[in-house]
Amino acid sequence: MISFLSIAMLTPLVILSVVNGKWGLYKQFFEESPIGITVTEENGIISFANKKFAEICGYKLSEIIGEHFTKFVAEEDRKKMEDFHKKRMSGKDAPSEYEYRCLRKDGKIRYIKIKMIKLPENRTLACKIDVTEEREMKELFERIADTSLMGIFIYQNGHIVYMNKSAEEITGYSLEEMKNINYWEIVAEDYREIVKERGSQREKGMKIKPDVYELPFYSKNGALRWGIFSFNNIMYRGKPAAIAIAVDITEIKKMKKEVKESREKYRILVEMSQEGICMDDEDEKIVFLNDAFAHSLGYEKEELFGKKIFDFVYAEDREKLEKEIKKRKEGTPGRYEIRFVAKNGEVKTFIVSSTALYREGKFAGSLSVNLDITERKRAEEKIIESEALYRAITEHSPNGIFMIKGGKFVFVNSKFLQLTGREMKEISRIDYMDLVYNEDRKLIYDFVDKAVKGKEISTPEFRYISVEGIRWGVLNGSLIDYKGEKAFLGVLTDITEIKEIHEKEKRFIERISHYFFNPICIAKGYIQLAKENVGEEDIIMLEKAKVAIERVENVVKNIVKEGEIYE
Amino acid sequence: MNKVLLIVEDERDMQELMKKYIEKAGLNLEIYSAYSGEEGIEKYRELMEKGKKPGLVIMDLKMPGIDGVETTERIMKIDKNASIYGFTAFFDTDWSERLMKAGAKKIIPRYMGFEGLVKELKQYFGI
Repeated sequence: MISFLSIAMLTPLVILSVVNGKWGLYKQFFEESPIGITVTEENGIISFANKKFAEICGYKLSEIIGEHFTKFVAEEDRKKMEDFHKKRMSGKDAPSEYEYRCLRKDGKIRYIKIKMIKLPENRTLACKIDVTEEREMKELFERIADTSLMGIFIYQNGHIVYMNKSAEEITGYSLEEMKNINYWEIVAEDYREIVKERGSQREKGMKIKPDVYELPFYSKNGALRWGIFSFNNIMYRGKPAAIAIAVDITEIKKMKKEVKESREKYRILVEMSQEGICMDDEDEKIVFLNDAFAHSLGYEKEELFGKKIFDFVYAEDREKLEKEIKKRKEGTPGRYEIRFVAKNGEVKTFIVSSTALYREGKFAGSLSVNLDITERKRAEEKIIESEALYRAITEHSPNGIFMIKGGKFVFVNSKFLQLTGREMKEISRIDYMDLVYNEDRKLIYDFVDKAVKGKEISTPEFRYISVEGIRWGVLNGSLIDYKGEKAFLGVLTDITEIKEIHEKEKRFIERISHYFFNPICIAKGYIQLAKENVGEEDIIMLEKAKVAIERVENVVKNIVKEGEIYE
Repeated sequence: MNKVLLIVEDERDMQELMKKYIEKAGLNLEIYSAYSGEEGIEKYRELMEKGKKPGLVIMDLKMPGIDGVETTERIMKIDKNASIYGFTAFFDTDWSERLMKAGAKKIIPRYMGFEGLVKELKQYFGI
């Protein structure tokens, strides 16, 4: 690389040759030098220029020699350079090394690094290096570095010597702050030594592997952050250094952790779920399922992977499933009931909630939550059967069946309505006591009260009020749980007709008693008296008459006492 | 005990036969007759007022007007110590049970006849 070092080494020779008039000796060397060289007189006129300077300026040598040096300086730098020249010529201090902008013949600007050497007789030797490319590269690097979202660090001798904005943002430190500490001090404790060791080796120009790895570090506020660091060896300002390019992955790490935790939660949720979860692809093949779903069909998960969901659908429900899948493909979620056939051949009923899955905008299958309702269905069927049976019993019962809660009828069967001559609407409004004949209310109240208290009670005969009039009934009942509360379930047996028959029977017997026993008694009485006043033959006849009457009396007695006709 | 007997019976034949059998048995009772419930009550009150409170009342059940049950209840109101025997064809009926509840001490079924009645009277009066 061309540097001013070579110029500096040549300076004594240059001075010597010019002073001693042996210019010719080195003239060819200067002319062929890769560094632009000019000699300027006291008045600023260029008296010598080499090919390289002509190349930098875009002029021919003949167009340079004899011209004032400011002709080849951009307007912005002319005054500065004239001032430097004047000072130099008047023996004052002026910078001997600096950069300026060269104005080329074609009007373009080149950046030149210049080294001034004052020669005897107020001449000036200027060595010029075109640093335009270098400068552009530097500018490019700075722009890239400034706009980069990655942190760029350059470290040398254990200290950060360069940081871009992103590096400052990632660490929270400014370059000035970082310069005062060793870079490894911000690295997390467990990684500090290795970072220090590798950094030291890189600073010495050694290639260290791995050169890309994740590293935890502390930002200025003490928060632990993570970065992916890529390291390389460089030369910085002429000395070995190392560059590190870092991407802050703290948030990504955090997100990854959250995603991992979320996935774990999801996995646990799915596995713990009592509901069967199943995912099938666009060909209806099972690609995921949980234990609950597999076990509800009597399988292990592994047995079902890759199988078609249709393989398990009850034949009669295949068409239904096809329709549902068609809906999924159209993007419509669904909730439906379907039957699957378990491994043991049992037909099981599920309620399925299903939604379509998409990959890159295309239908990729369905996700379904399958709730096994087989037992529930059976229970429902039993309830329906039981209800039908109960309804049949209650509706065909010859007795009135009713339920009272809070003094009101909450249920009555049709026989009860028939017995009371009332409609359901009316019955549900009235108090049950309204149906009890006034004189028997205490009896019924006591009966229900005892029943509610769980006491054993005899069933009372009582009178109730039908629309048609007073009727007789017998009440049976007990306390039951109804919708979480106590209720009285009663059975009313109408005994009005039986009562009437009994009454008729009683009156019949009473009449028999009256109309038979009285005359018989009188007859027997007179016969007995008559026997005392008649002869022997008459006594025998009266006695026979008496026996005959007593036979009738016995028959009547048996009718009255036993209801049977015999002597 | 006062040997006064009050017979409440609407049938005259029954009244006559009861008296005949009692006399024939020589029970020596002072017998009074009433042919309805109302008359029986009045007679009982009257006898009490005369100091001849009946030692026993023979009570029929079925009579015109008030029946034997009500007659018994009313007599018991007049004299809670009154002794009343039912002599009725309505034995073993609710009616005879009600008579007992009203205060009658015994029911003599009609089929026992007058001799049966006399036997009960002897026992009652200790004759």
